[in-house]
Amino acid sequence: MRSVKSVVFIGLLLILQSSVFSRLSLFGVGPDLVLVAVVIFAVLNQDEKSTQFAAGTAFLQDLLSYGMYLNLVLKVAYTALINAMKKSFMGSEFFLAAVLLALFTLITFILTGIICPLLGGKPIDYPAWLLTVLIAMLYNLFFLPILFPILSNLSHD
Amino acid sequence: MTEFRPYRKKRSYLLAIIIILAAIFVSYSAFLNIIQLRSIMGTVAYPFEAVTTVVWKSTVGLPAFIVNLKDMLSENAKLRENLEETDTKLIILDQLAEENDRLKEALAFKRSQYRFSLCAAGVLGRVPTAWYSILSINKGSKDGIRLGMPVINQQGLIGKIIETSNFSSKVLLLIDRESAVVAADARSRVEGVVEGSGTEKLFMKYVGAEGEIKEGDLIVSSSLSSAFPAGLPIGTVSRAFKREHDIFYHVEIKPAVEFLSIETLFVIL
Repeated sequence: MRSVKSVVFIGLLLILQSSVFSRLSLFGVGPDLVLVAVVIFAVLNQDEKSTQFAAGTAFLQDLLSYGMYLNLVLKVAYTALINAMKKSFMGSEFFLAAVLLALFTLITFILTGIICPLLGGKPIDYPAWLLTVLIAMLYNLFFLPILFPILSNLSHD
Repeated sequence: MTEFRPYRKKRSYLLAIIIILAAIFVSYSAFLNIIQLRSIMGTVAYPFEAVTTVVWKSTVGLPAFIVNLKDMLSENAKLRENLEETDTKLIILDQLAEENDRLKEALAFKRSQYRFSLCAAGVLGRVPTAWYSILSINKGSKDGIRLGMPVINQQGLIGKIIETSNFSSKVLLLIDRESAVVAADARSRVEGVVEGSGTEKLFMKYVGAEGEIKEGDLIVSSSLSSAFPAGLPIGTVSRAFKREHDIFYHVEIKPAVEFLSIETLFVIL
């Protein structure tokens, strides 16, 4: 039952991400619901399970996307990082998820900022890039309190 | 504050490393689009995405649609009002232009009819009866209108006053069955009596067979008439014939006056 719920949740998340939240972009930046979900799930669940969740969700996200499996690489790596640090963190899971989400959003943008020029993409306009990082962070943090209780229920089902 | 439970870290790290390496490998290999998975995923996701998009667009567009609909409705109502107003103004302008032309003609006619004392009047309406052809005019006994006075316009003889009140009068038209006027052919001077038929047609009776009358002749009021001044145009002969033993002509006359469109007329005082 929990697996079915998880699959439905992931499917819904991906569909919403690709069809709805892509339309809510501000300055070309929209929320990354998969990142929000992966971070929350990793904070709330066992290491192996969270890695599987991240791998599955990010893989599907990449399949709906184009090119490299970058989401898969980054989100599995973030999950591993969360798994490494969460035991030593003394605080609420929500707060940990918020901090990590902000941090990983920043890292994602930094990596993208580095990888894109390396792969021959457009050179980065840094003031605009900073603005987009800020918007992405706020967007993701906005969805954290919405997704957190849902994933919390899913984790403890 | 939540305590974290112990996890099987090593296995999960190994799994993560394998996944990451596999992802990087696949990203830079010929397996980028593994067994058309992207295509399959796109196909599977399409109906859900399409439905979600439609629902989303409808949800987002609904307030704007409602607002636009309201605006459109009010704009439509305003445009309709403007159109109606403009149409009404155009009709009034047309009427004013027609009235202006009519009054100009009437003025010219009145000036030309220096031999009569005329009282200009406007048509109030037609008396609502199928049996009589009667006009109601806006001049009455207060204006000097009396019974039997001839009524004319620039086209010719219209009829005579049959009833008066203080401020209005009734005119029996020449085309009424009750009307009769002694008339003459302006060319041959043969005389007869013009009578109405209740239609847009007059008949001239008692024109002697020995006389001369033909189609196109102008018929005017005769000097023998006691009710009407002589020389007022009545109409033109549209048909005139006599049979071998007839003692009178059968004469049909097309009235000079367009009785259906009379708006202004003059009463000869």
